Parts: sequence; structure tokens; C-alpha cells
Amino acid sequence: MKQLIFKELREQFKVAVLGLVILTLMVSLAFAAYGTQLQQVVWSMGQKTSDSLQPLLRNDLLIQVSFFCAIFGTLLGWLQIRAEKHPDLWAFLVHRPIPRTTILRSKVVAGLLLYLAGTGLPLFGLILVVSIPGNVAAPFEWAMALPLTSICLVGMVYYFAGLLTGLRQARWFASRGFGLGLAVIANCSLFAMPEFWHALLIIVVAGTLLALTVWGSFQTGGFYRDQPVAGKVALTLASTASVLVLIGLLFALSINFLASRGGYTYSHYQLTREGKILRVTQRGFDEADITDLDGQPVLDEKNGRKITLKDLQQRYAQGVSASVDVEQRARRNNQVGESFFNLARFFSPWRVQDKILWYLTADGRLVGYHGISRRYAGTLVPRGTGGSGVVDDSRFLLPQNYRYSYLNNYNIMQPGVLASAKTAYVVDLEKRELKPLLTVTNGDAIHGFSEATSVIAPATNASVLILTRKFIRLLDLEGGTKLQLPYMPSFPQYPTVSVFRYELTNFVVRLEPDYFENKISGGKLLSRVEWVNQDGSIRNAKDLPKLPEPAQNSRAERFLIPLMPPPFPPWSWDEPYRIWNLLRILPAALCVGVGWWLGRRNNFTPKALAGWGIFHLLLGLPGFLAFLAVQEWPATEPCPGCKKMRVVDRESCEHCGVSFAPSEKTGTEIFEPLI
Amino acid sequence: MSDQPVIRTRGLTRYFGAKCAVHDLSLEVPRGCVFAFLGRNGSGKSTTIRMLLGLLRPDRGEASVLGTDSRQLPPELRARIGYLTEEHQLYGWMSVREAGDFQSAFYPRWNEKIFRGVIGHFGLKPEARVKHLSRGMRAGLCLALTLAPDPELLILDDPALGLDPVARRSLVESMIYLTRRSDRTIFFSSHHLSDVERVADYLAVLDYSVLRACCPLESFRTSVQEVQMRFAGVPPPLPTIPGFLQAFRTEHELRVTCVHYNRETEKALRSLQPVAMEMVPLGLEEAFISYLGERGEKTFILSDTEVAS
Repeated sequence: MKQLIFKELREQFKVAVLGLVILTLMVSLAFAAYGTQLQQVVWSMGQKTSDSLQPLLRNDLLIQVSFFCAIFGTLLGWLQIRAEKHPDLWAFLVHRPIPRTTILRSKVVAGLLLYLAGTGLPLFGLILVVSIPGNVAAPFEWAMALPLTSICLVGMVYYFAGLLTGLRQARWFASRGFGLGLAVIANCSLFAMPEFWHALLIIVVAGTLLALTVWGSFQTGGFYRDQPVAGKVALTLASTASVLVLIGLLFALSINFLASRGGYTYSHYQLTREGKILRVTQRGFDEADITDLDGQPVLDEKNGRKITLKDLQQRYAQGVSASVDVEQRARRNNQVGESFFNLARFFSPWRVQDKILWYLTADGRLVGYHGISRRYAGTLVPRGTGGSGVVDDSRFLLPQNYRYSYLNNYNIMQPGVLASAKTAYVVDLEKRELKPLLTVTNGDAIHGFSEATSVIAPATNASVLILTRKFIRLLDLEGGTKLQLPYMPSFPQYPTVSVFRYELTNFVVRLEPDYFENKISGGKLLSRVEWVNQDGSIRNAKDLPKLPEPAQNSRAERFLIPLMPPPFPPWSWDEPYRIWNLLRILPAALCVGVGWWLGRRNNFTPKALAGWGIFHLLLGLPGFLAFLAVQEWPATEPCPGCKKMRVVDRESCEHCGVSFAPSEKTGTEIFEPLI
Repeated sequence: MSDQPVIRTRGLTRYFGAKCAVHDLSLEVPRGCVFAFLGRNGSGKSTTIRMLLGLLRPDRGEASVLGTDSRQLPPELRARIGYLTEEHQLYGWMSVREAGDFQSAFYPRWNEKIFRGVIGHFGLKPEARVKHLSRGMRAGLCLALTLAPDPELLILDDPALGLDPVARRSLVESMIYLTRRSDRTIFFSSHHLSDVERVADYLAVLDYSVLRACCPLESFRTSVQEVQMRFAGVPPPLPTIPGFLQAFRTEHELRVTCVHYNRETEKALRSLQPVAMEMVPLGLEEAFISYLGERGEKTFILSDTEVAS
């Protein structure tokens, strides 16, 4: 085995070195780009935005490395097989007194060593550089290296896909590259995983499945027939995954195509500057029906025509929104923002002051780093009781838009308000002080806040919306109350509050139900709107009618639903999809029938027939396509008995039972016994 | 045990798409012999060899090598089978010595003396890179790598393909050297009938995927015979002759090649009433060419009214 490993290392060494050089170059360029962006952010005082102030979590680097690892892994695997693709060299390799499994193991050990050397070294180098204080002007945690690590590891799944692609005795334009589908699924799934161990699990499962397919194919030189059962099953599943990816792509393309042509419909309510609520039903990107709550079209006063989306945008009421318990809800709702790839899991850039970048960390601290020296500059935390009571007020709550790059052109214009569970503060970064704005008492606690300048009042009259357990408060920066209302209906059913100003002095307050709570209650929670006078008295209140769910109301979509395997979660049980979901059983049943016929025709054992029948029933058309992709059909020739085409790998005709005749004698045969 | 054939096939059949590459091949190769496997290009020799080694799955039939199903040859058995491929493919980056070291790591019975002896016989330098070797040298190295493990059965797929006469002679000498040990069996395919004649005990002939002959070398040579007949005028049309292969007709002469020449054949030929009739002795090459050549009659008459056809 040592000799084989050495041989493989020697053969693919150049490829690994090439990979290492390219990735080192990519990583170096990304680090240089980080330096440039950092300078821009510092010198523009945060007006130049960047969501990648931690090089390890830069989106562009993650995507580039992702592509690189996929290509490098695939290429390395493919080249390892390609090197012995000549039948004679393949024979030289496999005709030796060791099991093929040992030969493959040597290939894989060498291949993975080279892969890890080619990708792991540059990435480890980057992580090491970033971890050294003074190199990056942002907080560092070792967990920040996990996204890059997972991307590097998923490349090993591609490596197995590359091996399989090299091995498979299938046509290039057909199913030879079908192992890649599973690797693509594994790769894409990484970005949605909440924890690293979830990603690791996906990598291990996909990697093991593909390793099994490679093992099975290696035993037979790439043919499906004669493979061990485990190899056959793994190959079929991997191929099914690829078919699903292809169907998914087809689906996404058609949806995208149709959505841009009005196939996608969704409705929402929009408040105007006059305090009116309109219902907007949007189809596609720029087509919409705009009606009042009675369903009457809204007409333009000037020309009497129906108003368009563009007209409506001019009339939007501006306001401020805040949500309660942002962190807990994000976690509970399993939002994409919770992926371990998200920078917000660690910190969010908050402000730039005197060339110091201030970050709001996920554990509620303001941490500063000098933008030029890239050194740690200091930390600001609320002077709280440290969580000895019911609530922890020794840390800042996370603002509503914490997860969406808090440092941006709009936010840096805000006065800079943060809140702990007990106190809201105006943060003075120049003096590094926290000026208390509001402190709640009597068992009350702050659950959400948001700040606004020009949207609700002139910049000189900035406002802060604070949601406590009992009240909705709109304050000015001196702590004066502009509006105070009881928080009713309250959270957890109504966690989002928006306050709009209309007619200069009055307010509209809108309380939005939580999506998941509403789902649990069967959609009974309605969006509530209150028209409030300046003195806090409610002039009017209304529960807005329930809006229909967004719909891909396209014919193509309905036709595509039946292509999905029956056990997959239904697209939607609502009309018009219910019947289409039920129809998914029909293609599956048809596939069972055709699969059964093909199996009988090609001499399948009863066990194989039953196995494939169940497989087709469960996986429907994608499973059937995978079945066609992996099977190698024997040749057929006319039967001299019944004249029908019969398969050649049986001892007799499957139609009439006539045996294959021996070769016709010519009378010139020369046979003599040799023994 | 020693009476058991080292290779046995029963109804071995293999298709590539709709084309039948090997049809219903049944064969037995005795232990301790040199067995030549002959046939024209594309007749299915390499396919058969690949099926024997379990590198290709037969569509029908079965094959066993050293008493084991060829589809399940265990590693211990592979150690007893040497296989030389027709294109002598090796890892180009290896040196001759590295190739030897690489191969020796897998064979406990590796005989360094044989390896050195064969590469010396072919004039190979141990430090020479495989990619820089000529085809003949590469064939020599492949042979050394195949012989050094001291295999019980040697399967050679057209080992002399593309070799110059000197290299070919070296190869044949190596084979003769090996067969001095009586328990060794060599199964080889070739197009060089002079080599076959020098070393082979038995031969098998594949014609268009079908086994047509399997016998001792001498039997084959004696079975294929040519009769030369002279006529006063134009030779008359041929009657049905048993074992007829081909005939060559000129103005006053008719040469007929057939197998299994016997009284019945003689009677049929004498019915043509030739002026003279004699048997022409054939070498293996002529016998083989006649046997696998185009069947039927050829005419070569040049007169005022007729042309060669």
C-alpha cells in the first residue's frame, strides 16, 4: 500500500502544487482587498459600506474558495482515475495480488492528502494571519474559521465525485458526472446550516455515500453490473440526487422566468402619508393592483387613472419599526441569518469614529478596533446589574437590523442609540460614554428598540422607538416622550411594531403578528392598525383582513409538482396545488410499471424487481431517471425461434425459451483433444 | 491436480453493443504447455484474455483460471498469474529500477535475478525513465516485470506487437527460457507465426469471434493441405469438396486448399480428371493464412478474352 500511495502522490504532486499556488494567490488577493476596503470604510467614516470587515467571513472569499475547492477536488479525483484510463495500464494496476479495495484506499489516502495540502495550507495560513492581533481590525474568534473549514472539507465530497466521474462507464453527455449532483447539494446546504456540526454531518453523509459509489465502481472498472449491493444502492442514490438537482434547476429557471412575467403574486398593505391603508397585490416585479380596503381601485386625483406602483412609492408614509426579542426569535424561526456562515453570529459593524471601527458583538458589547493600526481600541458595555435579576442589563440588546450589516449609509446618520434590558442609551463614542435615555422600572423591561432621524422627524428631532413589556414609546434624544401607548396586543403574538406619522402631528401604529405564532393559531392573528392622536388617545383602530399567501400561480409550476418524488413534503396543500400534489402518485405508479417491464425484459431477479419497484414508488420520476442512468442494458438480437428481440445475457430466449445455438459449423473446424 | 487444465472456458460470450466479440468459446489449456491463441485483428483474442483475467464480464458462459472462476480471482491467485498487455503501458515517470521496486513490493516470490536478467537481456539501464524507452525496451521491461514474480501461468496479449525483429527475438528467447521449467504454462496471442512455430505446443484459432481450431501445432499444420492440379485445358468447375477452404485457378492449373484431406476429398478432386496432381507441403504461416483467408475460388487467367479477377 505504501508503494501505491507514493505512486499516487508522485503522479498528482504537480496538480496539488498548482492548486496550492492558485489558492494562496486567491487568499492573498482577498486579504489585500480587505485592506483596501478597510481603508475606504475608515476614511469615509463608515459611509463606504462593507459587510466583510472580517476576512475569514468575506462573502466573496467564501464563494471563491467554494468554487475553487469544488473544481480542485473534482479535478484531482478525476485525474487520479484518468491517469490509468488506458485499459492496459488499468490492467497493470488492478492485476496484482492485492484486493482492489486496497488499491482504491491508497488512491484515496494519497488524493485526500494532496487535496488537504493544496487547499488546507493556504486557508490555515489565512486563519493564522487573521488570528494574530494587529492584522485585522475586527474581533476574532476561532469559530470564525469554521465556514472556511467546512468549505474546504466539502471539497472532499467533490473529490469523490471526481473519482466517480473518472470511473463511470457512461457517456459524458449522459450520467457520467452524476456524482457531482450530490456534492453540489452538500455544498449548497452548508450555507443554510445553523451549526458547524450540521455541516460536518452533511459532509460525512454525502462523502460516505459517494465513497461507497466509488468503491463499488472501482470493483468493476466503472460498470454498474456486478457491483456489490452497497455500491449499487449508493450509486443509484447519488444519481437520484443529481436528477433532483437538474429538476430543481429546471424548476428554478422556469419560476424565475415566469416570475418576471407576472407568474409570482403576493399581497401586502401599504400606509400612505395621508394615513390611508391600501392593499397592493403585486404580480411579478412591477405590475400591481392597488385598491382600498373595500377593494375599490385607487385613482390618481390628477388624471383619474389607476395609480401605479411608482405613483404609490411617492406616497409611502415613513416610519420607524422595531421588533422585540430579535435574537430569540431569529433562533426560534431558524432564519438564514442564523447560519454559522453569518458574520452577525459574531458581531456587526456599528459606527466609525476617529478612525476607530466599533462593532456590536453578538454578546451585546461595543468593541473598538483602530482602523489604521488594526489594534484593539476598547470596549463599551452598559453598567448593569450583570444579570443577577430576572433580566440581564449588563449587555446591549441587539437592534432589529443587527443581522443585516448595521454599518451603512443610513445607519451612520442615526444618533447611535443602544439599549440594555433596563436602560436605553445614547452612545457618545467620542467621549466613550453612555448617556441614559430611559430607564424602565416596576418590573418592566426593554425588549426592542429602533432609532430614526429624518424618517419621522427632522434630523434635529431624531426619535427612538422603544418597546417594553408594557409600553410602546417614541422618545426624542433628550428622553422626552413623543408618544406612549400600552403595548396591546402584545408579544409573543405581536412582536413587531411600526409607528408612522401622518397629518404632521398624528401617528399610525401598526402591530404585526409573528409569522410562526400566526401559523400555529391557524392564521387568526390579524395585522392591527391604530390611528393615534398626539395626546395618545386612539382615534380609530382596525384589524386588517388576512392576505392570501404568496403564490407561484403558474401553469408550469403545477406541471412540475408531479415530477417531485411522492414522499417529499408537498408544495402546498392549499388550492390550486392540492390536486397536483395528489397527482404525484401517478408518475410514480407509471414509473413502477415501466421499471417492472424493463426489469422483466432484462432478466432481473425477483428481488431486484421488487427493490426497484419500491424505489420507483418512493422516488417517482427522478428515481426512474436515475434507474435509467445507472443500468447497463444487455444487447439484443433476433431469436431464431420466435423472431422477437431477445437479450444476449441469458442462457435462453426470455420469450420462447429457445437456447442460444452454438456457432454454425463450416466443416473446416480442426479440433483435437489436448489433454 | 496437474491434469486439471489451467484455463477452461465454457460457452464464453461477450458483446460490445450489438457486436458479438467472442461467441460461445469453449477451450481448455493444459498445464505446462505453451499455448498460442491466434486470429485476425478484431477476432476477439484480447477480449477473451481480459475475460480470463476478470477484467471484463462475459455476457454468457464462464471461464476458470487455475481452477477458480475468473470473475472472482483472489489476490493469492493473481500472484500466480503473470499478465503482459499488448501495448506495454507503464508509468512514464518511473525509472526502470523504480518500476521494479514498485512491482516487487506486491509479490512475495519476486525474483530479482530474473528481473535483472531480463532487463539486461534487453539492454535496459536501471536509471532510464520509462517514458524515454523505445517500444521494444518497454516491452522488455514489461516482460521483466511479468516474469520476475515467477508466475505459474503467463498470459501474454500479443507481446511482440510493434517490436522490431531483434526485440521480438529477445522476447521469444525469454519465453523459451521460462518454459524450460515444465510446470509453467504460457498462453499467448500473436500475429507472428514464426514465433508461434518456435515456441508453441498448441494453438487455438478464432475466426470472426468463433473458435474454429484448437489442436496441437503439428496437427494444424498437417490438417491444412494444398493440392496442385494441372489440366490440358481450362480447369473445370469445382465440385463440392469437404473441408474446402479456397481455390486458385489459372489457365491450366488449379490449386485447392482444404482441411482434413482424405479419400473422399481425393475422389472429388480426381473426378476433375487432372493431368497431374500433387500435394504441396505448407508451413504454419501458409496454413494459417489459407485457413483464415477469404474462402472460395479465385481466378487468374490472362488471355485475349479474359482478365484477372
